[in-house]
Amino acid sequence: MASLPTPTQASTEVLSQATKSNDSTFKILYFGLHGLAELTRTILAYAGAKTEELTVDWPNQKDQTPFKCLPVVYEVTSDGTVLELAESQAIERYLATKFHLFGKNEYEHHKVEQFLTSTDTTLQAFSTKVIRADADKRVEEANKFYTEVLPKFIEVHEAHLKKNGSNGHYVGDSTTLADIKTTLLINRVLFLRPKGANEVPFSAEKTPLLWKARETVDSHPTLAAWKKSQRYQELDASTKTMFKWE
Amino acid sequence: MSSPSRETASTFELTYFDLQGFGAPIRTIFAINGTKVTNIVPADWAAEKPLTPFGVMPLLKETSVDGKSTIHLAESDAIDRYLVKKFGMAGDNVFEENIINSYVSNTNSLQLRIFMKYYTVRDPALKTAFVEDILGYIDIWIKSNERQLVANGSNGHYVGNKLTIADVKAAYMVDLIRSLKEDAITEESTPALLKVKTTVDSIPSLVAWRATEEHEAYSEHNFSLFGYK
Repeated sequence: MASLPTPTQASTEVLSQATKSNDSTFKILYFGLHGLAELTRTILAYAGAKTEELTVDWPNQKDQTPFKCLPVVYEVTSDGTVLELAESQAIERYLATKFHLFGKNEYEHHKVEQFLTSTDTTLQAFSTKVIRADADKRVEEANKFYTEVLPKFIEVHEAHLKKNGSNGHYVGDSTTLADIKTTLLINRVLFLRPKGANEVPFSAEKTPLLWKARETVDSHPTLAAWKKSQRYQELDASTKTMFKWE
Repeated sequence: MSSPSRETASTFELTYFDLQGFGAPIRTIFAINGTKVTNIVPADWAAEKPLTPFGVMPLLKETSVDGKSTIHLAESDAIDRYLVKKFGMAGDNVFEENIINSYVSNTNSLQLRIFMKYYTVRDPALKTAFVEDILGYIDIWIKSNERQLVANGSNGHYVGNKLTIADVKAAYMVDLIRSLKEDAITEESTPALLKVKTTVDSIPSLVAWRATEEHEAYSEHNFSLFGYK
């Protein structure tokens, strides 16, 4: 039976001191697909953090998790403190704060949040309408998604990227979680294009600034290395198998 | 404004429809903090829509005390988070913030499920079937939340001993759960959650806001459109 790290019992002040550790190892408990852990794994790879994948033994582990669902991430600091992180969006925010991916001040932070939730709406729509469609409706649903949902996202987000100076970033002149999350959306929609569906409307020609944001994120050395890794290829493959994707 | 998010003497205008919807959490945060917000309903939303950052409402405008600078906030969740930090409802340290975020996130998931599969569904047979289905999720939510509240000392709060946004969201969820199953939240079965609800509900400035005609009008309109207040 695969046992889980034991979260350290201490006041939140003490735990917050521990969160400042910058050589922690992040132990990830999630199934072997991209799913709800994809952005978390991406942030960790982007930050060049040490990670470890825990073995999932769900029936035996479920009751040890705070919400009886995954992902759960355990941050183990150099002095052995174990911090339990749960709920994918809370984990993402925590990591983005730790790795300085929320901009330079509170207003930039808010702007990043705007783009995160706006992108999230489109990600949720893709998940609900396309990924979870019946297999025989997938092509139709994907085509509808490309013509009914994506154009608004593209128009609004290209405009914002232009307003920020067409520098490949949503906010300021350095990468924030907004850039990383949009890159994830673009890559997910491209990767999960059903066989026989129309072309995805993201490209260097059609969506130049979104494409630039994506290239800026994807060319980051530690992230590029993660995407070439064997583990990443396995996650790609099982993501498709899980949803019986062709 | 050099550090707008820390200024609390600003004036605020919220642009949204005249219903509860996504405006409610924001108005609740202002009410709890005792800060006035002017609610603006666009005269011609279709015309204003393309001029807004994302083509959607709510939108919040914050004007500095000297009237010289304004900032524009958008996206309901982003606005909530900004205000919650400003008004000291986001936890006192990074780890409290994280705990709060995880409970809020988990509660939002359940809330979304209820809205998408019950309150926006017309077919009564589907609605009944849904209630059967959702009770399992509600049970898990109750257990996770009671556990945290008991661990924190059953003091009506998720972290520390002061009000945070986790308390506010949970109080709202208690109402939503009761609208599906009245006896799911009781003194006997879920004392810690009930205490959160009564603590939030007794905040004087929130009680005052809820007693206003404006609030009542939003609730009525919400109810007529969606079937819940």
